[in-house]
Formats: sequence, C-alpha cells, structure tokens
Amino acid sequence: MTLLTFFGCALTAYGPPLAIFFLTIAKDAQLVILMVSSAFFWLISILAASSIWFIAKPARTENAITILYSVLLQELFRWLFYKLISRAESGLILASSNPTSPYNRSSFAFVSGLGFGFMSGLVTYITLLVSSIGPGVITSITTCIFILLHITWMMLAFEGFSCPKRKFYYIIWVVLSHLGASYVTLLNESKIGFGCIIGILINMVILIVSAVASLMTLKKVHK
Amino acid sequence: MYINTLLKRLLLLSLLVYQVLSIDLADEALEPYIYDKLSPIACSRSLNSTSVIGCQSLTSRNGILILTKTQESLDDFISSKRKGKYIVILPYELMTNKNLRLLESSGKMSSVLALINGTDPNSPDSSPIIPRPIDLSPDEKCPNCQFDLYRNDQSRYHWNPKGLEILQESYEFPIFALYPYDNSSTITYEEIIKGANFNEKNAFENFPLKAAELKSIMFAAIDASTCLRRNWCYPIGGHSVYSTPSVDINENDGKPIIVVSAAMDSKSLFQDITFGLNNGISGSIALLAIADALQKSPTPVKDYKKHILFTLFSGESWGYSGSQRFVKDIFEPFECKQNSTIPTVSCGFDTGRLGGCTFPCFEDIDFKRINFNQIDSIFELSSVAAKGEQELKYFVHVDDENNIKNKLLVQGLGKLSAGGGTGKGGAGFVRSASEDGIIRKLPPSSSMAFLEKNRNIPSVVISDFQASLSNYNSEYDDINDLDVQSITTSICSIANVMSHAIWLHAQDLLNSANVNVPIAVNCTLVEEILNCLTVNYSCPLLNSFYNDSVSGLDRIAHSTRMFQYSSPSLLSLFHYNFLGKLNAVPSDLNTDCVNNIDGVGCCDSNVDCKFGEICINYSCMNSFTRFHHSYGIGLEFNDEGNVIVVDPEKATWVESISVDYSIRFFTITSVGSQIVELIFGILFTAFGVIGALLVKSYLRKTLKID
Repeated sequence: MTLLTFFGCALTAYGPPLAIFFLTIAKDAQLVILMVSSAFFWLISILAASSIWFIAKPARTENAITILYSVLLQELFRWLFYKLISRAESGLILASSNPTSPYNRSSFAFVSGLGFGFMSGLVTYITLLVSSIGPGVITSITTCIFILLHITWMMLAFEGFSCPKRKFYYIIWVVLSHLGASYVTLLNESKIGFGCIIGILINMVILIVSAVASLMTLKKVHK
Repeated sequence: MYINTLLKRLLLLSLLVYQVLSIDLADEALEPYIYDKLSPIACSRSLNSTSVIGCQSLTSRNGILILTKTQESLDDFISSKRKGKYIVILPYELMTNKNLRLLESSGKMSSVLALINGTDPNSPDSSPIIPRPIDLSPDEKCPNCQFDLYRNDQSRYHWNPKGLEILQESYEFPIFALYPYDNSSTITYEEIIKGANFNEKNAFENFPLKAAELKSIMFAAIDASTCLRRNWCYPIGGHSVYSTPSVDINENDGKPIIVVSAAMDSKSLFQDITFGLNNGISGSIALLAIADALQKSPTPVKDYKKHILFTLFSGESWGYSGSQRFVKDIFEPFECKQNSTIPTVSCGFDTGRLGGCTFPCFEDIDFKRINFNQIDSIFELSSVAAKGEQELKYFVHVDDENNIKNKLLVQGLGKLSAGGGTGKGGAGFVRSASEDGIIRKLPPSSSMAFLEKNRNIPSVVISDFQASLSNYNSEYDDINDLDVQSITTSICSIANVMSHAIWLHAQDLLNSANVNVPIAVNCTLVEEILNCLTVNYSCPLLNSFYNDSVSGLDRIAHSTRMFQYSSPSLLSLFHYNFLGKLNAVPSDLNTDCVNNIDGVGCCDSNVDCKFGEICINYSCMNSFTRFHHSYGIGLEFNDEGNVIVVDPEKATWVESISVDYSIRFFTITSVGSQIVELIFGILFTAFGVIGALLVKSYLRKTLKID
C-alpha cells in the first residue's frame, strides 16, 4: 500500500527537475554530456567528504561538522569544475548549436548546476526513498528544492568566478546559502515544533533569492 | 575464460560493497526517525522427523495494533468488517489454537503479540493489565507422549488436561511475547500497549495510528533431516550432569546403584523467558539439597552397600533427550571407532588427554563405569515446588503398582513422612498417587527411559501433583519474591524425607524399624540456591562457579536451545560445579586457587588437571562428576561432525539456526493520505513542467534566448 507513498515522494523530489531536464537540455547532446560530467564532479566531492567521515570516527555522529566539510568540499569542486570548463570553453562554444550567443556560458552553468543537483538529489535521497517502500512515511520536498538550488548556485558561482572582475559577493552568497540551506535541514530532527516546515520555508526563501539573482545575471548579459 | 571469472569476481565484490553500504545507510540514515526498534521475545521454529512446530513467517508482517482483552472483544474483532491488517494483542489465556486459527482465517490478522505479564498504564496503582491465570499450560494434553514409555498403549492417562495445545502447532505468522522483565522488554511492552490504547482512543479510524512490524524469518522447513542437510537447523539439546560420591565406581564392582534423578530445565512457547520453576529447577534444587545432606553423613555414603548416582537431565521436555541418551549410552556397548590425540574439526576435545573418543565424540567415556544392570532403584524428583497455601502434600508415582519393590519404596517414603515436614507438611504428607484408587502410571518423567530398557527397576517419581500437571511448560511457572519462603519450606520438607529414604536404602535399611537417621537437609542452602536461580542471578554462589564471567545477568532462561559440544548452558554449568565440588574427595592441598591460578593443583580447565580430575572454581578435584550430551536419540553426529537422523521414530528435535527477529514500532497514515501524497507528487511535477515552460518563454521573449 505504501507504493503510493513511494511514487508520491519520487515525483515530488524528482518531478520538477526532470521536467526542466526534458524541456530544456535533453535535446542537446553537448549539454547532456556537460551535465553528466558535472554530476561526476559532485560525486568526487562527496567521495572526498565520505572519506573524511570514514576516517574521522569520533566526529561521525556530529552532523554539524559533517555538513561543514562536505559543503566546503562541494564548493571546492564547483570551483575546480569551473576551472575545467573555462579552459574548454572556447571549444565548447565552437561546438555549441549557437556559437555567437552571449548566453552560452550561462547555459553551461545552468546544465552543470542541474548535473550537480541531480547527483546530490539521487545520492542523498534514493536510499531514503527505498525505505519508504516500507511501512513508514517521509517528506521529499527538500530534495527538490536542493536540486533547483544547485542550478542557481552554479549559475551564480560561474558569474562570480568569471574573470577578469571576480564578483566575490556572488561566491560568498553561494557558499553561505549552501551552508545555511544544509544546516536548516538539521531542523528536521530537532524537537522544535514544525521544525521541518520551517526548514522548507527557509530553503524556499533561499531558492527564490538565488533564482532572482540568477535572472539578474542573465539580464546583465543581455545588456 | 579469465575475463569471465574476473567479471564474476567484480560482480560479487560490488554486490558485497553494495550490501555493506546499504546496511550502513539504512541503519544510520533514516531508520531511527521513522521506526522505533524494540526488542522481541519470539516464538521460534522447531522440527522433528514428523512434525513442524512453532512460529515463523517468510516476510515481515505489519499491522495496526489492537488489544483484545476478552473473548467477546476478540470475537467482535474476528467478525467485524474492518479493513487492513492488524497486529492482535491477545492475553495468553485466549491464545487457544482455535482462536489463533480463527484469527488467521479472518484475513485481518498479520501477527500476534501474546500478553503475558505487565501493568496497566491507565491504572493509577499500576495493577496488572490482565488477571494472572491460576493454571495455564501451552503444552499438549499429553505432553511428549509419542516418545515415552506408554507410547504404544491403547488407552493412557493425560496428565495435562488443561493444555492450550499450541506448543505442538505450527503457525505461519510471527508470535511475540509482551513480558516486561528487564529494561528493553519493558520499553517494548510500554510502547506497544500505549500504541494500542492510542489506537483505541482514535477508534481505529482517525489516522495516523500506531502500528508495528514483526519479523520472524527462519528457513527451517519440511522436516528434521531435510533441515539438517540444508544446514538451517541444529539439534535441540544440552548437557546433562551426573555425579556420584563413589569416585571409584566401576562397572565390575558388583555394587548396586541407586539413581537419584531430576530434570533441570523446562520449555515454553517463548524460550527466552522460560522460567520452569516447578517443572524443572524445583526438582534439581531438591536433588542438590539431598546430595548436600548425604555428603554430611557420619559414615561416608560411598562406603555403603550401594552407590548413589545423581543424574540431572537436560532437554527432557524435548522427547526426553537427556535421560534417553544417557540410558542408551550406558546400556549399549560402546565402541570407539576413531581416536585421535589431537582435537579434530568434528570433535573439538583433547580426547587423548582426558580419555575420551574422537568418533563418536566424547570428552571422556567415564559413563561406561556405570553398569546399567546394577541399577537397584530410581528416586526421581519431578515438580516439587508445591506453591500455595493449602496443606503440603507430595505424591509418589510408580509404573507398576504390583511390583513388590515399588510398594516397598512407596511405603518407606510414606513412613518417613509420618513425622510431618518442616512447616506446613502434616503427618504422612508423602502419599501414594494411587491412594484414590485410580491407576495413572508415571507422569512425564526421566525414569521412563530406564524402564524402557528394564521394566522391573523399582522407581518412584515424587511430585506435588496427584492427577494433573499445573502451569506445565508455561511462562507462568515462575516465582515472585513472596513465594521464595514458602517454596523453600516445601522443597526442604520433601528433600529431607527423600534424603532419609536414600540414606536408608543405600544400606538396605529402608523398611527396618526405628533407625535413627543422622542427616538433615540444609534449608538455608535450599533458599540460597532457589534465590540464585530465580531472583538474584548475580548471587555469590553462582558467580563463584561462573568464574565471575557472567555477573550482572538479568535472567538465565531455564530452557534448552541448540546443542553445542563444548559449551554447556549456565544452568548445567552450575549443577555440574555444585555437585562436582560436593562429591569430590577432600584434598590435602589447600592452595587458594581463586587468587593464585598458578599454584599447585590449580587449573583453568580440565586439561590442566591430573587424569580423571576435574577443574572446579580454578581447583583440580578428584570427583566423579561429568557432563553428558543430551539431544534426541533419533539424531547422531557422523564422522564429519554433521548431524543426521538415524531413527525418525525417536526424538529428533532440531531448531532453526538462521533467525531474524525484530519488532519495529511506527506511525502509519491512512490510505487516503497516501493517495494525497501521490496526487501532490503528480501536481508538483506538473507545476514543474508548467514553470519550466513559462520561464523558457519568458527568457525567449525578454532575453531572446533559445
């Protein structure tokens, strides 16, 4: 009977990102490849994080510490990925469907973000989703928000990293909001009433702010 | 080829990694937030050659908790039109086979929790949640009858007429017990009962409701030999103990042997909480008290005309495994087919050092020093706790009323009790069980195994019941602090009479007039042992024998589980050590081995001692006290160490080894709210699609992006 819950949760978590994927990226092979490689980078970051977790036995149960280093590692790999993309950018633009478009970099950022987000959504949520086939029930909106957040973070971060004039306020926002959004999920297990709802609301606010900021960057390119 | 094997290995490796990861993730990620893991007290699956008993299910079962306190509420539940699956909490008294089968066929029951004990959380003075039954036995009306002396008799007496008859049934759903006795079982009990009350308050309609998942997965199936071959089962058995003050006993010494016997364990539906006070340890405590009294005889009893052999059998509830195997081994000629001086895989004993045999595997073969043909008589202590306020009475059961030697024993015991017991036993409190004119023959007893080989051995079985067993193999065969004093008095009274009878009989003086008996049972010792085995498991007496390795135990289950060659149960270990020390030849060495293990005559195990000596409490002692394996005599170990069925007619009980018990407690939502979740998911996805399209068209319009 809880197969219903399984599909409900799966659609809630992955439905909107999948919709974005199929409506925008799927038809462009180059972007799909880019997405997969960014997903791979996220995986490496989480491999590093889990190695630290495995070695640092006493800190294993301290979720706050685990979140701190895994978020920082993710941001580090985001930057490494950016470095890689910026090296390959000229080639990528050349091979893209519309080499003259000023938005190529933004669309690379967008798909890379989706790749990051998908992989994090899969890794963090799929085991929980499987256990929802059991008799218990859980929430999945947070996963969806996180995937979307990763898109905006990637776009903002690319904008922030881009030379010649680095915009550090974007980078700071990305790191801080990533940390903030992650720490807010700790509310789920706290004893504060409606902890998880407060967490989801805060995450939504972060998402809206980040999305608006990403749109602004696009508009800037337009000018 | 090479790549093929490599791929296979890779696949295996990745499977392994996946398993490790998935276990870790499942345990550490979400489990604790959705489920409350509780500790189960389970009914397990056992098989013999002809039947399958106990409980198991191949999948985990979950359902909404419901407590049906009375037969009416149970009937209501069975006939109601409820939907969904329920875990039915049943008072133990209502767990008749009929009720369980009705529940099973109703299709509404996923599993059963047996409510045995516990307090009512709603009651201000914490009164019990259900009234305690006076007499309840889950066993058959004629327990173990297919394996006993009278198995081929046309009509026979049924000793357990009130038995619920659920022990020999096979249930394909989990049955766990609610029985708070330690920290974790109390938590389980409280959560479950609170959950059931919560559901009742919400009329089983206002979701979310409290539910649980019971898992009781065992792979034992078909019959004993199949299960043994598949390696899913292991024999049920333990270690019997025999001991005699006659350290020089020899099969050719021509001295008659008096056997003093008792069973030391019990069983019940839920093996982990088996207490077996009356059926089980009451007899063995009396036996230890008798051995202690005889040891204080002014003339050492080993110098009398007859040997006195104490036997404490294990696994008697499982087709008389202990007594039948012991009798078989001392009765049949023994041939050691293979003797290796080093321990082998199939037989882990240092047989060269201890005089044993590698195949058949025995640590020592000293049981051959007991000559079956020399057995003169058997005194058996059945249930002798005699709880309750009524006048103390004991009954002597015999197989053949007309056997003149039986008559002499019964008369002798009656005469010795003429002076009354200590406390509530009136004059002549030991009587013939057939004094009401009804011949019932022997109740379930170990003597039958001896009589099977020689029906003429005079044997008496002493018990506190005349016509029917009470609380037989029941979880209610237990004790509370208030009982200790009264049970001590009872056991002490009967042990005193028995010790006198045995002391006299060993000198052929049982029916002589006016012999002054200079021995008496030490009632303080009886109380101490009773306390140790029932109330205070960390008492000094037990701990000194367990070498302090098991202090702080909450409970010792008085049940027989899987047989393991070299690890006797705590109960066997205690009896062995107690009798071993008692019947040892006093030693000149006075080394304090407890504090100085390297001293002369000190030891860690029997291997450290001289040949024939045993190691008790770190000291080597010259004592003829031994363990003897007990598992069904229909089973044997082969030379590879595997167990096979050799006689399906005999006891061949085996128990499932691979067990996965668990009980999880959680909150369940209604199907309606799950549908809402699904619809939410679909809508959310649709919203995502529309959102993506809108943003795309917005971007195309304002920013001219494709």
